[in-house]
Amino acid sequence: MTTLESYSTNTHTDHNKFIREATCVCTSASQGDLEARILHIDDDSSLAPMLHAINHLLDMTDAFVREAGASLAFASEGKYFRRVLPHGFLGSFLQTAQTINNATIQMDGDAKELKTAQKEREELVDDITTAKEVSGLLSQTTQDIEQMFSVISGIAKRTNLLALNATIEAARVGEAGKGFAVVASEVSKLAIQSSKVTDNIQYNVIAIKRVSAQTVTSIERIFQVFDRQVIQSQHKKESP
Amino acid sequence: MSNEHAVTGVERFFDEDELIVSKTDTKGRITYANEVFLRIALYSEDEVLGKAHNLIRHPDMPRCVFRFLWERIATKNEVFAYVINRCKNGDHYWVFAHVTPSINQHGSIIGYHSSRRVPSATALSTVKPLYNELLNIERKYRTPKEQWQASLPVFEEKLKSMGLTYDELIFQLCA
Repeated sequence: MTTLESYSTNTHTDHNKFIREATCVCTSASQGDLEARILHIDDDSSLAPMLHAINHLLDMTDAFVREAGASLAFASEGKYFRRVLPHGFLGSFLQTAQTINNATIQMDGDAKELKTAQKEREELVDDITTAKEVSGLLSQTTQDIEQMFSVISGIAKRTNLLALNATIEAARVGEAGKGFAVVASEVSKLAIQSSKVTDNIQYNVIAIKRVSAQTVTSIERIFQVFDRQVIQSQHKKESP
Repeated sequence: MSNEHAVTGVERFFDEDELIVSKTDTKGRITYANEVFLRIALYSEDEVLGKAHNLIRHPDMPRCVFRFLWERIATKNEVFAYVINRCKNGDHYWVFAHVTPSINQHGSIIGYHSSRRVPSATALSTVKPLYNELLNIERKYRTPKEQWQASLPVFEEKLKSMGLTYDELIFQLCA
């Protein structure tokens, strides 16, 4: 009789101890601390199945949190091969694992597309840089032409002056200078003609200059926009 | 002592839906083993609690793989590995282990968690010959340190020749 009483008291104490422990473990878990488990479960106790079930629930939750966390941590670093391993998970754990994996697959595809677009954009920037350089060269060349024009125009003026002088000199020598006067008059005509041509060239050069300045400005603007976009996407890549 | 390392060559299995779970402290001493662990490894909870996790180390497991594993988790990274474990009676079981450090709110490691799944047959068909090759290298040396120092470069070279990181290889095998 005494033995039976003491057995029953012991069991009661054990039950209380395990209930306290289980409460403690479950409270920690509800606060996000999934570390603790109920140890030294007495398999003969009627509480044993419940205590094992609590441990099992925590094991599954803990494993799932670690799996999902790791997969998403990898994905945030741009590594999409790290999928949640669905084996061993059931029900909602399994469904959520699949949802996360579908999202990772989707992100993987998006990242690949983005990478292609980024590459194309970088190539475009290269092309625009070349165009910018070419149009810069064009405006330099028109400046050179302008300089040449002023030299040619100077020559024409001086030739005209020379022809005038030659005509005067030819008139002074009378009959003997008549043939030379014809030559001087022809030279003067040529000088006037080349002066007209240089005027024409100047008009065209001014037009080219205006157009190439406009081209440089538009390319400059396109360049700035692309440059900003490339920098922004590189920034995104570096600091996700 | 000799009995401790004896193996029977008999393989034991667990269910596809099951997870073998164990936790250790920072020194690798077991602080928790779930029912599946105890059932397959043929131990009671009292026999494993407080013991070093290499209690279930099987002699067919290359040391360099464990070395690699510890380096990874000590630097707060998760690691996956195909592992052959030894049961108390010398039987063995293959697992696909996922080991993660448990980190507190201050960012320090407070222990390690390992969940193990049933490995796929295709993965094992790649892993077993690789492990044999590494074991053959290790068996030429006496101390554990000499062993992993000899086999680890071979292991790393193998990965390099496949053009894969360790993690990429693991996920290719289990896909």
